[in-house]
Amino acid sequence: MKLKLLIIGTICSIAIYSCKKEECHECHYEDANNDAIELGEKCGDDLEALERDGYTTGGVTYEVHCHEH
Amino acid sequence: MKQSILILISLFLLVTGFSQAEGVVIDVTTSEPIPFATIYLIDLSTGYIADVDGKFSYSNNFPKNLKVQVSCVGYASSIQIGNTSNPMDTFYLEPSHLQLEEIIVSSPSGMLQKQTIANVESRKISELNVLPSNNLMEAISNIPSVYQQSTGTGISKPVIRGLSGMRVLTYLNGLRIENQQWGGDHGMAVGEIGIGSVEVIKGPSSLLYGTDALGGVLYFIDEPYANRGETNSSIQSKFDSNTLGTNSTIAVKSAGKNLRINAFANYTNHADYKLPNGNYAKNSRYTQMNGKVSVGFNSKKWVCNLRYNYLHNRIGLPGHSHAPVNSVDKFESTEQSRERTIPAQLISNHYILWQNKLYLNKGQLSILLGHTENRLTEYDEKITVPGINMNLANNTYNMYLNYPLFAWLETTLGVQGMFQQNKNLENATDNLIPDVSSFDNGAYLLVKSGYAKWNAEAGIRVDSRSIKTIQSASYPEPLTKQFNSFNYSLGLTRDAKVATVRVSLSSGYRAPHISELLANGIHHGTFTYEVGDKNLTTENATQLDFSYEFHSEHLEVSINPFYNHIRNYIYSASTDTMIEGLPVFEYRQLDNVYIMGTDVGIHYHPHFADPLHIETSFSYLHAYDDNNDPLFRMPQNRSISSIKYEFDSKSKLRIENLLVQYQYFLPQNRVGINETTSPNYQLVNVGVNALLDIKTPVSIGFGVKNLLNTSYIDHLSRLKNIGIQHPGRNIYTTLKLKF
Repeated sequence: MKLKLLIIGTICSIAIYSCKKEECHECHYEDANNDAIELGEKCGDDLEALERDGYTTGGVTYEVHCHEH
Repeated sequence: MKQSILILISLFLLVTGFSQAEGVVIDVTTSEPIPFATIYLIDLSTGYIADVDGKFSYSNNFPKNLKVQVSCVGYASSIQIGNTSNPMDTFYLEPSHLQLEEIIVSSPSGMLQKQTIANVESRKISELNVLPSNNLMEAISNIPSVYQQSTGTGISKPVIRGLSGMRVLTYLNGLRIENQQWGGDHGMAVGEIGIGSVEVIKGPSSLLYGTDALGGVLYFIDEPYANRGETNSSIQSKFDSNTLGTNSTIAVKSAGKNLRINAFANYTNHADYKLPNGNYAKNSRYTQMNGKVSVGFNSKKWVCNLRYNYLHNRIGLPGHSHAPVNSVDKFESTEQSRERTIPAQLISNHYILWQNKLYLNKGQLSILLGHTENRLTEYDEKITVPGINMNLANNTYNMYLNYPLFAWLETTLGVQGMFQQNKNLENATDNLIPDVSSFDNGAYLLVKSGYAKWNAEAGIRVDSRSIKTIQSASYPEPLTKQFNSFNYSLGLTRDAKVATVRVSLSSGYRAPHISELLANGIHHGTFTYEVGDKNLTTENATQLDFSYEFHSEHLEVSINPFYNHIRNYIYSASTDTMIEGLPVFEYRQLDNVYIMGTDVGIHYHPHFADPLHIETSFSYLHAYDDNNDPLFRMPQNRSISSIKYEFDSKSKLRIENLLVQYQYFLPQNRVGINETTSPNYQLVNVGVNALLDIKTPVSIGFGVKNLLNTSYIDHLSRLKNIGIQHPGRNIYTTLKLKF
């Protein structure tokens, strides 16, 4: 019985190795000089809004990139 | 009074409908009972185990004339038919030193595999996974003439005799699987859980399967239900060192008198795979969740199964870059990760199938109704805004009547079709193909006859496909097309004790897919800009297939040459132009292409070494067009050899078998325009399987894939042009607990 529980426990532990977390990513935009300006880590709704709407500063809206190629 | 009569009638029916009877399995040479023989009711996917006296009890509530497979270690298994008056009574088995080839009933045709005209290769998944594979496609690529076209380790597409994509159909228990398979990076959408066996039909097979069955058909069949009156469950897990990956499955099976259920659940998680040079292929990580439930029911005249399957994948797309010129080191990393990133594919599949078989006074009527739903979302540039977001809904029907017209002539009359809708969902930045609906309908007639060792078969079929696109901003001009086709099949087989000879002529057709007609955009998954042609016409193929199989007690030899002629062959042609930094590929058509080749197989089991099995197979392919130019993306010719030793220990912890496999892929120097050649390579895989035989048995597996840490890129790999190698050495362990 103990051996059976140990084996089941081992398998279940391996099986649930990865947990689902809210996605967060480092985001940046490229200014007029093509320099990357970091915006820091963004998560959830903030992340979605930035990707969809871009980042506006000084009256200019820049496309935001939140992933690394 | 009326109520009393009704009750009496009901009781009478209850008693007679569910009466208990007894059967027995007997050794035909000694007339002695055979203990613990297996009696498997093929149409019901369940059966019985005889007791120590060779007897088994059964409730007489299933259709008569069922095909029953009776087997036991030390005996030649056989397929027998229940007679009309007493379906289950006495079965006889003949002793056999060893049976090299299992007797199999081909699911699509219902005939013994050795007697079918079509060259159907049937394999149990457990046999293909003696050396466990990472996925189902990798397992079946051990079958001669079957290859895989991969994009990293998370995406694999089937290739049969050089043909893939929309030319290879996938069926799951009779349900046609549609999952945007036109895409080079859209892998096979069948999870491995609960799959018992696969049947591979090689070459054009439109007679039974309709449009798109040009290269062949993969027909997957679920594991059978538990034996009647039993409930059993298992939990298993596999760990791979190369990807720090886990693959875990829970299974429960229960079968009563009339009702039976199978349920499976699986979770798989792999990090980026390790290359032979010690680096990791960036973003080759993937996860998968798979769940499956099947419920079976039968009465005296009706067998029914209701099956549901859910499959969800998140797959990284390695080799992605926007730079005009890349070096392979940009796609490698010194660190291994499984964190979610982009580009990635998110794919969800729902499959529902209702199978019915009605047993008439003469003949059987089968009705299969199915629905599949495939959601494909690709995140390329943005983490929350998809590049591609499509939903493909497919409704299928398949009805056929098997009817013995005369004692010597059986006919099958069938109708088959599907209604499909593809829809681009909101928020996607690209619409690679338009919203479209298509409607397929087909009708066929098949006649079969047999005399002594001979079987003959012939059939004809007519099909129609209509396609209609829906107007949108990306595709302002609607397109309506209709494609019709006539197909046929005829063949002859002679099945003797020592040799089986089979010859067949079959045709197939494929209507151009909407992606080939109207593509006009970037396909990030294949690193190309694709352009369609709305004037493409139907592809048609005719194949001549011959096979000779020699079988003795210790040796089996098979040879299977074929010749396939395809007219109006559609292909994606590389052009000299670039759009948005990606090479442009246009869909074009060749008048004629020819694909010929052969498979040769040998299975030797020496008389002096009972536990030893030596197998080898060689697959050869030669493809060309009217100018004798090679075709694009043809697989490397290869040989696969294995030596297996089966131990016969009685100890509680015992090794069951040891397997060494050697794969050799010849160079591919016959390449299309702008395609590069590929060198030869070889792989060595070893594995051992053991059993801890305690009250709850534990199966243990251990082995090494790519033992020599060979650096290689297969010719069909979609990462070939950017130089990303296949995985290096992988050490695996498996654990399976049955209770």
